[in-house]
Amino acid sequence: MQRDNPIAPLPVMVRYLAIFRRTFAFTADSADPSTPERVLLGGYLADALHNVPDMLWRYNEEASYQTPRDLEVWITQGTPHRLLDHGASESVLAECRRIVGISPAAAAEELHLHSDLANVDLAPRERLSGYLKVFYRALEPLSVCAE
Amino acid sequence: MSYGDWQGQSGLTFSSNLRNIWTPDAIQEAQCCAQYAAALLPLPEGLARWSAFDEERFLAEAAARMDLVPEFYRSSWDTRFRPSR
Repeated sequence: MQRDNPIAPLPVMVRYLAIFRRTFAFTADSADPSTPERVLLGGYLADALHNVPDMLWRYNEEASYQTPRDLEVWITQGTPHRLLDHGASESVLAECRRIVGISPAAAAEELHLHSDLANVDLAPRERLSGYLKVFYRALEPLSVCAE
Repeated sequence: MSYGDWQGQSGLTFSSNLRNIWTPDAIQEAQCCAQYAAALLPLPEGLARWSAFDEERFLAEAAARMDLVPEFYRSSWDTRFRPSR
């Protein structure tokens, strides 16, 4: 009998779902030609986050490549540094930090969850798997502008 | 220049991207990305609060938005999640 793969612990799952929500909300509001930096930030965020869905679905702290800790550092520290190196404005950097630096309490609030996560009711595995793949595919086309 | 055209180009920086971004193709693709992101917006909360999530409504509203988006952006949506009509 095949064993299910381990998914990310609840606090990790909730935090990244909140980051996805903020990223989607930001990107949905960032197609205005008068604010091109916002479009580019959407691309950088997508580039930073596109491997997160697979990490959440096949959670392995001992992975040989892109451990959860590696991704955490890349997303929360590497992405703002990369933006800074590439000449992003302070307002874009602040927006990036607001999205990727979300606290556990703010993540719970973002998803209308109790702060102790007692009311989390995670989607069934087959739905979670399918929709995490949708996230990945959504972020792939967005991310090419940051390469 | 479209987003896809940026692939393979080395040395682009945030600033140089900004100089190239607002060609007609890039504007259209940014608008497609915005539609896709708007379609997916309810999903993170829905995955965390599944019993309170109206999946049928979500799929119908997302499909309506995807109808506005060119094939490149909606293919994965169509193959897995588009409700039958």
